[in-house]
Amino acid sequence: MKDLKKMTGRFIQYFLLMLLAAICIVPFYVMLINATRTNAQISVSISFLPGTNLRQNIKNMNETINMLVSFRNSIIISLPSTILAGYFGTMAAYGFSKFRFRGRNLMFAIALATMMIPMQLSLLGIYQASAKLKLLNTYWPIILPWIANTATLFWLRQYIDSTIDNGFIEAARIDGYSELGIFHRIILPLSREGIFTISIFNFVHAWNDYISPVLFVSKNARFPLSVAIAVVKAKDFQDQGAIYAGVAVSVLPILIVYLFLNSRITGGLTAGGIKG
Amino acid sequence: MSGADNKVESLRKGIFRKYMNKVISSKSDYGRTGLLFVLPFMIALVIMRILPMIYTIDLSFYSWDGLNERVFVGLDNYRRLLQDKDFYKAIYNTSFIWFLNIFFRLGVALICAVVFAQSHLRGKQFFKAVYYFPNLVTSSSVAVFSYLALDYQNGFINQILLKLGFSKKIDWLHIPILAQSSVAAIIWWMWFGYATILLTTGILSIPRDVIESSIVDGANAWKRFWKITMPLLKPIFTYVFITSFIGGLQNFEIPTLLTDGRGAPDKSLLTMVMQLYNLTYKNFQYGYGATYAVALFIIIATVSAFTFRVINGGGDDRGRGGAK
Repeated sequence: MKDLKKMTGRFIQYFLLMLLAAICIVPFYVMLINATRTNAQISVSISFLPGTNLRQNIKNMNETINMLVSFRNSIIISLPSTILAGYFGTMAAYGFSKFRFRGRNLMFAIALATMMIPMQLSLLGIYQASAKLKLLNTYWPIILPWIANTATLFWLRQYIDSTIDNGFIEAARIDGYSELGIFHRIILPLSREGIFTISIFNFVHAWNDYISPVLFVSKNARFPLSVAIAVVKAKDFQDQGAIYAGVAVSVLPILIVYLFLNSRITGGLTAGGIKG
Repeated sequence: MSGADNKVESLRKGIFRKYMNKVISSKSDYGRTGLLFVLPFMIALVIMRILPMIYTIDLSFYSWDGLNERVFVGLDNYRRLLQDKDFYKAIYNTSFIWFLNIFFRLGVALICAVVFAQSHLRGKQFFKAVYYFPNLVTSSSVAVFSYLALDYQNGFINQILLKLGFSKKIDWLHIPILAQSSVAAIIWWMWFGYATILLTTGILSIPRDVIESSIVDGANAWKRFWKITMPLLKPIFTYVFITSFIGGLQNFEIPTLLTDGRGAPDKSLLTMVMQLYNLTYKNFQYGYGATYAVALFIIIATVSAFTFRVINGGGDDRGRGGAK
């Protein structure tokens, strides 16, 4: 009797968990399937089997905006952003973690405070400065702010605090390493796990960013995927097959990366305290 | 002679060592190195976050269309803001959508977290990974995709509902309350996995002996949940609450792309950042747009501080008492 009760309890648990999982997965599946179907098929009913119209949909999509170019643009934006955030974030985290200097606490507090300030408050100023410096329609105003990515700083400071022993640094000094040499040859390699985890999040964040590119870039050929997909929708929303194809192109790379790194990513959300 | 020499020598060595030690461990010296490490970051922070922010605050006291000379108007923009019906409408919509989704987000996440925290459950990593995935997808893609999915004529949500036996299609995006609920549901979909993972870790980090001693004391599962689990989850709740609030007030991509930036139907999807964006970059009212941005910041700062005090008030006092 007790076993039966336990069994039904567990059955209900699994059923609800599976239901939630379906709510997360099915939309992506339908998206991929609809990217291969004709508009007529899409409008008539839902299907779980692929159609034959994928090539035509991709062709129509590319007539509105070249998604391959947008894909390249997304990489041109995201990769340097991630690297800058990781490099300068680690450098500052190391400075805050292992050195005592005047103004240290104040500076750290300022960095902490800017986390609470909405990005929109700065965007207007960056926009005007970029207009003055003729940097609109370039990626500089999108990429450069990543040098001062506060989330990266906090994550790595915590990481360096808890994993790197001062002894390594002392030993390297005795061996005659320069301070910058210590950073490059000891601290960066020792922090690579932490840098890698936060970099995944930074990359996804940069890849998904919509508001900065939509503000700073106004030429179709320079749009990253996040903006291009909105252009496809705005220009041609009768052609649903093409829009589905566009959405699929923007989602697939993330899906593929996630298949390999999911435990790393979900684990990274909570590793070393809670840091978004 | 040699003794004295030795003495001098050792004294010299001593001074040398003392001097070297001073060089090696001197706060100011290595401190300067530390400062150099921190400086690139801090300079970038000042140039790219703090100065633009000061610029925006300054701009909020001017009237400016981006072309002509800007005109100082004092507090006029703020007066106009306080009388702007759309401003209140935007605050209401943004918070209503946020409230709807945070309620279900925390609710579902808490249930999942309690289930996940039981050690015998199989496939935990699978469920966690699946629940979190929508969070990683570009929100503009999610918006465009939702637009297709919720379409009255051809959307697959209505197609599924018809298959499940509903007799009528639902016009999700053209009835105000349904449009708001749809946006709340989309945001819930993107974020409940994140809350689930944080809360699961929170429950698992509760020390075993706390739970065991309460079992010895005769507390049943229900009582344990309310008396032990919930209070100990407070910091994580606060964290999820505040970060979701900061994110929720900046709700922009999804309502904007669902409505082509109009906030239709009946302005029910007009959010604060959408309004800020339209004012500034479509209508070129830079001064007034800046005022909007400042207001957004003030609201976020006030509510965050308030939430923090309300939820964490008890914990703070206990901490202070313990220190004494």
